[in-house]
Amino acid sequence: MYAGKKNGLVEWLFVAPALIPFLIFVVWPFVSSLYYSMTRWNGFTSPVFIGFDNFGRLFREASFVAALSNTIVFTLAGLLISNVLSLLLALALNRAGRSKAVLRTVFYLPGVVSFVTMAVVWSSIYHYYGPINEILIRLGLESWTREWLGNFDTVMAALIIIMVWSGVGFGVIVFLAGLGSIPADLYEAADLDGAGAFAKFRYVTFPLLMSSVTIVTFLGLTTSLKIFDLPFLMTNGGPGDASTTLAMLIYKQAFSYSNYGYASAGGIVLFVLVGFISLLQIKATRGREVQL
Amino acid sequence: MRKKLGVVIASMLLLGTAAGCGSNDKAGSGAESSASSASQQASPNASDTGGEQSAPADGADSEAFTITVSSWNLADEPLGIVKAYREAFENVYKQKYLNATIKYNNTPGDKYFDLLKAQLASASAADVIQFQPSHLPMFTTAGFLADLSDLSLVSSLEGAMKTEVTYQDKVYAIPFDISTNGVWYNRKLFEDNGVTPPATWDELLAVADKFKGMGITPFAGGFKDAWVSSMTVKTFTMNDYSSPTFEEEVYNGSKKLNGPEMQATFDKLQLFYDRGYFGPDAMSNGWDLQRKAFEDGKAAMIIHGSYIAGLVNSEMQDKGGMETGFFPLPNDDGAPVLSVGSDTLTGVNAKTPNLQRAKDLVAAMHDAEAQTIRDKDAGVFPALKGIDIEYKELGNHDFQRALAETDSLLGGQYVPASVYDVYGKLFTKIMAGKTFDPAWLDEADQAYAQDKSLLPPPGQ
Repeated sequence: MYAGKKNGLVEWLFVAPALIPFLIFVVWPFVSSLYYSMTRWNGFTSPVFIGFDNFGRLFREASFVAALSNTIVFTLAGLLISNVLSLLLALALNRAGRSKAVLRTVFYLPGVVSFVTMAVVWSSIYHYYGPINEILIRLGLESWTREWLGNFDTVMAALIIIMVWSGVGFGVIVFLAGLGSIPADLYEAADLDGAGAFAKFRYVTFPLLMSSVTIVTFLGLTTSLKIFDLPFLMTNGGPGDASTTLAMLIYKQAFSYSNYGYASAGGIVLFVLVGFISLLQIKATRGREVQL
Repeated sequence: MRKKLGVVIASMLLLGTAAGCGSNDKAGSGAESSASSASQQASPNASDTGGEQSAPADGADSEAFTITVSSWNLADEPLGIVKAYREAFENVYKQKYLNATIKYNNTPGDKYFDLLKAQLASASAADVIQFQPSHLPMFTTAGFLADLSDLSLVSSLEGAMKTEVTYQDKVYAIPFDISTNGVWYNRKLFEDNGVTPPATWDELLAVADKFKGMGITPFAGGFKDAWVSSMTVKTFTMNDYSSPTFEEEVYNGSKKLNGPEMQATFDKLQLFYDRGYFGPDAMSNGWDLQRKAFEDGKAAMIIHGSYIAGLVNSEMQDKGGMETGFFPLPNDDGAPVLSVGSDTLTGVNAKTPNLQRAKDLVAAMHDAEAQTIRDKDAGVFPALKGIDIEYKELGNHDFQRALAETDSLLGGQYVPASVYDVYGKLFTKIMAGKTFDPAWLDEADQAYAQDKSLLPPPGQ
């Protein structure tokens, strides 16, 4: 019994170097934010406990509802457009032969460009006197010209295009790695069975790519749900609340307005949302993974 | 609360005019000599500052140390004005602290204030910090700012400038500048087309219509930047405050931010949009492109603060410079109201281990000669008495005259930051084609109710 206790102590000592920083830098801030979410606190003076008032206010505020809705649109767009496009590009690149390496680099490049640089370039592209409107005018479509980032109908689409452009390369790389790991003899067997290209994709490629789908979808979902820098730099959430996201709302409430209690409540809601959706997604995709 | 800042401004104007006599338009030697004399009057010689840690007046401190300054406007810029200013006040400081190293923590724009608040809350802020008047009540109640009442510079403060930095009878910051927002115009464009600065709202609309008819955008827009949107709305709001004590009345609950005053402001902004006064690219442009449209003559006017005349003239030097003019945004009866205040306050972090050294650095940063270097080409107007600058730009002369002759108030003193953000946001909705609905202002009223606790009660 004594030896068991001693072993337990030794085990804790081995775990401690990782556990202590984790408790201090991850668990404690999270537990603290749970408490602060139930306070009115400006970050400087003592917090005042107000129960669940902040959460009630969150769901009553039009700006929060707008931010939640925009965040979900970004997430769905990332999930549907980005993933599908990544997969299609990866499939095409997988058959590209010698140009594969070059094209892979080209597709991945936008992902390594800093958001600030990207914001400058895309702001010029979307500017009222930018190339898009210029092309439309030359095509005789002057009535279609507009301020792409300053218009309620187009701002989200304009931002989603940038999000997909910058994120698609990562998906391509992961899918290419997944495609490379599928044994060629499975395709040979499918050929012998008379399977066509679509049948091979449906019954061989896609099931064996599911682990890649899980990774790309999980990372894409968590990134999209927390999206901040793109709308912050491009539109500051405008016009109105048309492109405000949850992360932006939390940032503004905390750092611009000094409503740290309210911002913490927003952070908790975002945490629950990310956690819940991610769990659903992992459950949905993991169950379809095929192990060789 | 409304008051003429005439006493302060008129004295600045008179002293400036006197100092300018005999100097040429290039504002070089005249400004320097006047600055030197001002320096003798108002220069914050380190030995003037109070405090028990003060070094002997007749001996410099040779101890090596590093002192930090955080700001959003002390970084190098293309014109080199800020660099020259930094060198000037560093020289002043090093007369007392021979081996001091001044380290600058510069963060651009809006992000600076967010960062500063986080640094103050986590006790990691710089020794000397720059901020804006809206932050002062919160910083003082939280105990972040050292009391600067014993600085000799305080005697150079009076009127609204002193009110702005005083909290519960103690002075917690030194204002660097006095500023207001209004309408700057392209002087040549106005003169070439026989247009005179409008005095009433109807005259303003007529001027705008005239330029629009000529294919020139009446007002340059740059509302991609949130601060430009909020600042533009704030410029309009002052004329629609129903009384000089409007903000106190809102604080006391007798007036509302979704009432007729703010509705009138947004109706005017809606009118500007409907008539296309801000041009088709107003939401695509940030502050840089807004300024460029004005400099290139594509827009006749621009609504901004005191910095415009010096800035555009300097930026247009290779094309022979640019003369501007200034007038307050007119209201219906030709008696506009300006929101006057300081854009930059300098304070000392209460937790600094270098309290006296930090106070002395604040004093050096407001040295008359150094400040003149910073101000004369950048169109910054010193808030301290005794710093006399002969500005070469005609627009700056207009600006000084407008400050002296126009009713003014300390706008925004009792309005939380979130409300101005809401105003800016609502304005961008108008600019994006939505028609203003008075119910939109409920959001501003709600933000006010939520964040009222962040404001100091009127009178403190």
